[in-house]
This record gives sequence, structure tokens and C-alpha cells, in this order.
Amino acid sequence: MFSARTLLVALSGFVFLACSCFGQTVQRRSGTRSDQRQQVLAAYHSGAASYSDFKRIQKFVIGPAQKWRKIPWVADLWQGVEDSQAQNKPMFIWAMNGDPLGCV
Amino acid sequence: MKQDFVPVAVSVSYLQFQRDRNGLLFRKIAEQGHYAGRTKPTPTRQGLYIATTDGTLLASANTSSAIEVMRLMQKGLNGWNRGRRNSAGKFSSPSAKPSKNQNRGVAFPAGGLILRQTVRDLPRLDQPHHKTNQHNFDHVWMTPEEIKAFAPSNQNPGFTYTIPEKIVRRLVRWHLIDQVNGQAPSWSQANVLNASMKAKVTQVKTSKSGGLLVRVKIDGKAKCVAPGTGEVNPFNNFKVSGERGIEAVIKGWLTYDVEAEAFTKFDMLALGERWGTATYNFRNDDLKRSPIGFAFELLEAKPENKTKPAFGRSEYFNYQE
Repeated sequence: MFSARTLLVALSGFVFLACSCFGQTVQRRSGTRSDQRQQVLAAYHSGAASYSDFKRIQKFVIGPAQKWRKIPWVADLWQGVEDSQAQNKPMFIWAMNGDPLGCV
Repeated sequence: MKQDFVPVAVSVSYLQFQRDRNGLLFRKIAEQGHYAGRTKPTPTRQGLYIATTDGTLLASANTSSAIEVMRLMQKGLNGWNRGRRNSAGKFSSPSAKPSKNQNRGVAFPAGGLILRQTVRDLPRLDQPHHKTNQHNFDHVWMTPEEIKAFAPSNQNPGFTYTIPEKIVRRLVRWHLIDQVNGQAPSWSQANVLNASMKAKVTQVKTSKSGGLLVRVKIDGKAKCVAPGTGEVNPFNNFKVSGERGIEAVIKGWLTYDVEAEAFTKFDMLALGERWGTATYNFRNDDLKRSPIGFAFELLEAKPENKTKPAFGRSEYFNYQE
């Protein structure tokens, strides 16, 4: 089994693909540059003493914008049934151990 | 996605067992899919499913590959376009009862506050190539009383105050948990060895409306340790015999609008080390102390942001249990 959070990455990847910018996105998501890592390491070892160190680590932990969040997810399966009937579209169900829109 | 599908995001933790129409429909769909009949290593039915409203499966997979997700969507659409549409109507079953509220557990407190939590490994000095792309999210809910405890009662720069320990312990117990790679249990009261926070007013500015914006700096500490459980991870047979723990400093920069009696910024970090593993957080080959970061940021209390905290059960707001 893979970590459930990686599915988020997959879904994000799809959104990016659909936007025809997959290559750039994969590069952006695949890791952090070594200089950024060094800066974060230094800020961490300073105990995030200064506001700039704090912001540096905050940015690193939060990471890039999560485009999958822009998808208008319905958080109730039966509501999905109702919407699917009304809109005449199939349901795409993302089902995880834990809440896909929160902690998985 | 939204052009061709109705996107639905649900937790299978309850859904795959519950007996209402949501549970029955989900099981009908899942039992045609990739984990049909599975009992080992776990009975999970997590994954992606494309289905019609009567429960006909069009495609399914549990994949981490963006390409495979695209293929899955195409397969689902092909099935839909071949005529397997919603024409059979909505799912029904003689035993299907109306769905219970899926938002089980604690309800969002009126006038409360939501923080988005992100947790991620930080770079390691001794392992320069350690991957830090894995991360996880959660939502922190705070009551109006807790918001008040964080708000400065005196706006003079230099004014310091202590956040009540019971509030810090609550936040630490349910949220400073190593969930980077997977799920781990919350901390019991006994597991929390340290949980403290102090606040200091650093600056006061006038807002556009003429009110006061007070900038507050937070400094705190937390330490939690839990003994090994002896549980065995069914995926890799690793026995959780050693302790797991977390030790962190807490830093925060908040902005409080005195006139609105609300925070306009609530940026907080918990930085420190985690060690050990839980049964399902997949740290069995990464047991040593290593740096981890938790970031908290204010979210608007809109319905789409009200996804329940991972441990949002009845005891979530209870300071005693």
C-alpha cells in the first residue's frame, strides 16, 4: 500500500496535466533545491528565532499551492448521487482511509 | 475534472462499514472494484472509483500515478459514453436507510476558528538526500473561549501572558502527531510531558478602519512520548515495540483585530524532532530522531473549510480525557 497522501499528489498531477503544464509541475513538486534546503536547515537550527527564518520554514512546510483544492469536491456520497443525476455526469469518488480533504 | 465528473471526496473509515444508503452504495461500487473481497493485509477499500448513481462501476484503481489517474478517468468516461449512464436511477436497496450525518463526532463550534495544519519532514543534516515531498494536512478547530485565551487583554507592546496549559495540551494531543507518511494515534494525557505557550505583544498598528491591530509573538514547547504498542503492521510485519515521540518548540506570529475581536493572522510553527513509529505511519525504517515541521495558518470558517479534524471525536474539546 502506498501512503494515502501520495494520491493527492497524483490527483494534483492530473489537474496539472489537464492544464498542459505537467512537466513544470513535476519538476516543482519533485523536491526542493539544495540552496532552499540549506536555508531551511539554517533557519531550523536557529530555532526560527527571527521572523524571516520563521517565514522561510513556514513556506517550506506548507509547500506550493495545492491545485487539487480548486476542485469543487462534494464531501457526502449521497449528495454526489443527487448532483450526478442533476448534472448527468458520472461520479468520480476519491475514497481514502481518513478524510481526503483533511488528514489521510 | 469538474467538466466531466461530479467529484466526491469521502472517508472510507466509516463508509465501508456503515449500514445506511451511503455505506450500501459505496460497498456495491467497491465490491466491483480493485479491492473487491479483500480482507488482508487490511479490508480497506480506499482508492478512486468512477460510478453511476445506481452503483454501476465504470472504472477503479488505487494509484499514485497521475498518468494512471488520467487513464482511469478516460476508461470511466468511455463506459459512460457507451451508454452506462445514470438511466437506471438512484441506488436503492430494501435495507437502505437515509444516510446518517457523515460528519460524525464533534461539531464545529459556533464562533470558532479553523487553522489548516501541514506537517512535513524538514531537511536533515546527516541525510542530505532525504525526501521532504511527503506531507499531510489536518484542520485545527478552536472554540471562542480558546480564541479569547490567545487574544491580548492589554495592547501595550511588551505585555506578556500565558496561554492556559489545558488549551496547549489539547492542541498538542490532537495535532502534534507524526502523520507525514501515514496515520498515527493521538497522544493520551499521560503521553504529554510538556505543553506550554507564552505570548507577547510586539507591535500595535492602526487598521484601515481606525481600529487597533495587535501583533503577538508566541513561544512555546511541547514534548510527547508514547510507549511501544506491540502491534504489528500487516503490510511489512514490523512490530511496534519501541517508543515514539515528538519534541518541539512552538513559534507563532498572530495579528489580533481589537475592534473585530478576531485574529486576522494566526501563523504558527511547531519545529522539532520526531522519533519511533506507530503501526501505520510507516517510520519503521526511520526510527531515529529527525526534524519535522508543523505549520498552522488561519482559514476562513466557510463550509468547504470545515473538514473535521482527524481526531474530531466527542473528546476533541474535552480537556480532561
